[in-house]
Amino acid sequence: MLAKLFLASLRANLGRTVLALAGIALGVALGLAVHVINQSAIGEMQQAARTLSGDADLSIRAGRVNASGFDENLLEIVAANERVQMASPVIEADAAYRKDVPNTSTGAALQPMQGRQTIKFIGVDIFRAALLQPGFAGEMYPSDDRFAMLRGDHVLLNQAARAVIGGGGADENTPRKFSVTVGGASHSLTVAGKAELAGYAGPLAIIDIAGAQTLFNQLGQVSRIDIRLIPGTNSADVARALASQLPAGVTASTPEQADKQSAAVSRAYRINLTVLSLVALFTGGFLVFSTQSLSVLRRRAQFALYRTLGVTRGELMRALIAEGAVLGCIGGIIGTALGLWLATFALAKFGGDLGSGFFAGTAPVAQWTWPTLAFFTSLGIAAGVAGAAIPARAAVNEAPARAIKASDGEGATSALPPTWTGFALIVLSGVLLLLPAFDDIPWLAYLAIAALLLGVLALSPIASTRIIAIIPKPKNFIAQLSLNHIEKSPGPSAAGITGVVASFSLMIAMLIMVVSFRSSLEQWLIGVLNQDLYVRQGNGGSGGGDSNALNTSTGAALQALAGVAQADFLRYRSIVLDSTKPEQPPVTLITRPLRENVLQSLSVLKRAAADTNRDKLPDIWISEAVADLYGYTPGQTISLPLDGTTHPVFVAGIWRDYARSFGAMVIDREVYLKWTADDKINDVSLKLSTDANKANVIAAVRNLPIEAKLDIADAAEIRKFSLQAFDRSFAVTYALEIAAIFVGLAGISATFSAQAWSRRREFGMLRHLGVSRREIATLLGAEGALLGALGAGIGLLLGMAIALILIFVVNRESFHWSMELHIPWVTMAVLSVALVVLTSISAVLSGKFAMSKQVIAAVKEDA
Amino acid sequence: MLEIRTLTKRFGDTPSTAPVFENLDFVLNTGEYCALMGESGAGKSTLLNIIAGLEPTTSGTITLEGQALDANIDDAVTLFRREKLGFIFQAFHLLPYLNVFENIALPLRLNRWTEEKISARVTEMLASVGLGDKRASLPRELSGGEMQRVAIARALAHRPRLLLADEPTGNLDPDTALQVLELLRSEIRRNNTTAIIVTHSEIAARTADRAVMLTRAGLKPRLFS
Repeated sequence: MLAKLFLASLRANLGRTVLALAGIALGVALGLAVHVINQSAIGEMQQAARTLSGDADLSIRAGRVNASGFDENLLEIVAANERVQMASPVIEADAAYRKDVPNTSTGAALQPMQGRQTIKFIGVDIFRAALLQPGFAGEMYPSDDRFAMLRGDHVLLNQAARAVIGGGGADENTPRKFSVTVGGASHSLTVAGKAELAGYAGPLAIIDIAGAQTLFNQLGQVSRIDIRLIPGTNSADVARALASQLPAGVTASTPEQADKQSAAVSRAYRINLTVLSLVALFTGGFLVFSTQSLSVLRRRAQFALYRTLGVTRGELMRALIAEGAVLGCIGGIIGTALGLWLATFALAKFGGDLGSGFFAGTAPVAQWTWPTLAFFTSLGIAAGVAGAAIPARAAVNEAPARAIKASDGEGATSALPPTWTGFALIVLSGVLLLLPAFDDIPWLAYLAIAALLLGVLALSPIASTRIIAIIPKPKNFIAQLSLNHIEKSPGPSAAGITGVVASFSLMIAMLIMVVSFRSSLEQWLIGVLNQDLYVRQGNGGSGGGDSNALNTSTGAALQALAGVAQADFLRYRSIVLDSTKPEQPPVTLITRPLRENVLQSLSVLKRAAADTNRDKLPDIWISEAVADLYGYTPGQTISLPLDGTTHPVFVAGIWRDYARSFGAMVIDREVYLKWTADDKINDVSLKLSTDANKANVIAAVRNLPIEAKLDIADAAEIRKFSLQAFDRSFAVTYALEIAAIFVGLAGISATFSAQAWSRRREFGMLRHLGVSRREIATLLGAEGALLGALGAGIGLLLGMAIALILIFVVNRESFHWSMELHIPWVTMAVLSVALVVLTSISAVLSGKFAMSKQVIAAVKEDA
Repeated sequence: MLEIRTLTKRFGDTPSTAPVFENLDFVLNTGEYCALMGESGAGKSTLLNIIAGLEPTTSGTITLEGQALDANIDDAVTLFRREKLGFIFQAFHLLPYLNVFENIALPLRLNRWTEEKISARVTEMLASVGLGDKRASLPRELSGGEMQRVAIARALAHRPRLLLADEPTGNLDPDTALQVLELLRSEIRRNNTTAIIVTHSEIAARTADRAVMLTRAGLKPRLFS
């Protein structure tokens, strides 16, 4: 019977019910969509990696995909292990296929990757590799004999690769010859057949391993060794046993560990985004809270009647909680359906990247499981129940005799938690912030933010009352009434203000964090990009790749150009610092000339004490991530694993690096060249002489008599591209913030809509006393503005506090980089004024019932 | 003072709709205190709302001290109510978030009295309704009789020309109701206010100078034996 009554109430208040449903549905949809997109992208990456490794039980590798390889002689050691059934060496590298697109650019620089597409090359011993991945055997074209693949210049292409080189992927139209550019040189290859690997969608070429070593200039090297073990062998045991035989920087990892490593690269970003998307759900919960609070207030006489008729407190409590649960469940189901649609749409439209760059190039389809859907639907139910619980408690605690006679909100039991809980939550937040992160994710910092938010929200009503009490009484009578109402009836107003404080504070926090990050990044880019021009081929292999690296003769040619005062050569290597942690992504070793002005450009944060004994060791400069993840400190001597040998180096200082959250280290190129024979160049920075003409130098670079097609950019262009990429990666967060603000405004709207009804007798009396409709509108507008101003004020302070946690704790623990605090005062002021105006307008529009003729008749209603 | 001529009220636009009342004629002299009686649904409250300019007439005219009222001109009638009318309701309708002093001061603030004058007048009204010691109390701290005393003080504080009271004792017990009626009558006299009190109670009606009965046939004098 009660269920019927309560469901009828939801139907009767359809507008508010729909609003609460929309809040929950939006939150669930955003949370689920972000989760599905991220999981799909990760799944796609892991599936691709597993496809290329086939049924391998273990892989031995030096760093990530595209990493520099290791000595192929390791194959013999590995194969000699009695538990290894078969070992298959692999070269994995990317090469650029370049159409002959005429260069129409007349500006100073080329657009990156113009007219260029990348094909992934897998160099294998086909007969061995086919045992692990039968797809490698492929299907030869009739014109080629079965041994054609043993020739180093013959390849098998999958459909995506065939589409890249022309003919739309159809066999009959596919050209039999094509060229790729590697290390600045062009190489002609013959298509011998096709190889389709289910699970790998990108352009892929299979080539004989010897051919790959030649093509990628990696003679005597392999990228990894895929191993099949004797059946029944524990792969983790073998990995541990092999670890002692592997040279420094080379690790043996199981497919599960490889999965963890690929997921770890984007883990912090994904978790941050998911937490942010749940903010919308959080504010959705507040919308339920505000609508339920007012709904309870409105029906207090009705509840008192139920209690008088014999309904127990428990039954009333359960019915009200069930009301919230029904709202949450419906909202959760709608949100889940919407979230899946959003994820499918976003994956089809934008890929799995969401602008972050972590999954660039993947084209995943939405991957989800029923438990995931059930989890997000249950989050909706939890938000509904949480939103209904506090008002329900207030309803059951109300004395029926008083409630049944009381009018409007007069004497209503506050639906808000007691003040001490607010202080307790703030103290808890402070304690949580003192504790370190675990599992490399700032879970406790997120909890601290939640505790701080809830604590301040619990204190908002009393804070509002205290603030209003010190505001000088205005002369305007209507303004006086507004102040009096909010000061003396904090309960109903607080229900509306909580949504505004929650959404606005989170918006301000994100704004300060993003502005601080962007300003710090811009300053960093200005420091790092302190040369006139930058030259590279393709992506330059900044992740540690070699296929686009330039050789020293190209470097020398650039150095010798007229107008070039100085050319610095940069080389990137991907290395594993701690081979006992194969799931830890490798760090990037950057080699470059280390002059004092270069160090200045590195944004050095901390140096070793000048009197530290260096033992004449070469300096290495580590990024904050290396310091955090490996515990290295300036002044310490560490071992640098390089091509199977470890070199002692002196940690000269810590520098800021916004490019690589898993760490980067810089050493002098001269030192590096003494240790290795690797003289490749990934990037060249050019300092022009004072009288040089930049356009002439660019033209000279383009006219160099080399095969490599070089990309040239000046510092301003790279800065622009970098900041554009930053803005893209935060586009999703802006969308989530706007959603949260709309939810907050919807809360205000619900508050005033409900108050217009519950205060109808008050407005009716005022109309009798000679208050005009316009003055009632002014009264509502003033109350809305006052609530907006209080919400903005409290939200600003809370937002700044949350921003400090995001900047100095969450970011540091998630991405291992620091930033300077930049507070956008003007933007914050504009947003605050906009919020006050919007809440005022929302109050007037939502409270139009207060101006209707019905309120005049309401004075006759028996309270 | 108050003159009602050929007043007809019909809810709905079509002439075929049955009128609430038709062709009412009624005159109330300055300082006169009149009880308006009638069966439920006779249109007593509607008549009160029409006099207050809160409800438009279908036809007929209403003038107060020679000034014609037109409920369609909202700003003008709102100002008229603010300055010249006082209201007392059955359910008191005190603002729960204002104390007794501030509730009584409401019409004075609306009429932009100075703070000194407000203070003096509210103090005077509090004394006359016997609530001098309750000025800082909130409505929830008062009894029903006390709340209606505050409502009387509020209704008369700005010295309205016409007081309209709609069942002012409907929520009170008989003893308290009698006390409130006596207070109301004395305050009306003291302030020289013209008043109409809508009531079902014969006891209440007897406190008035005269009583009229609203029926479909019009307003008729109600005589008590």
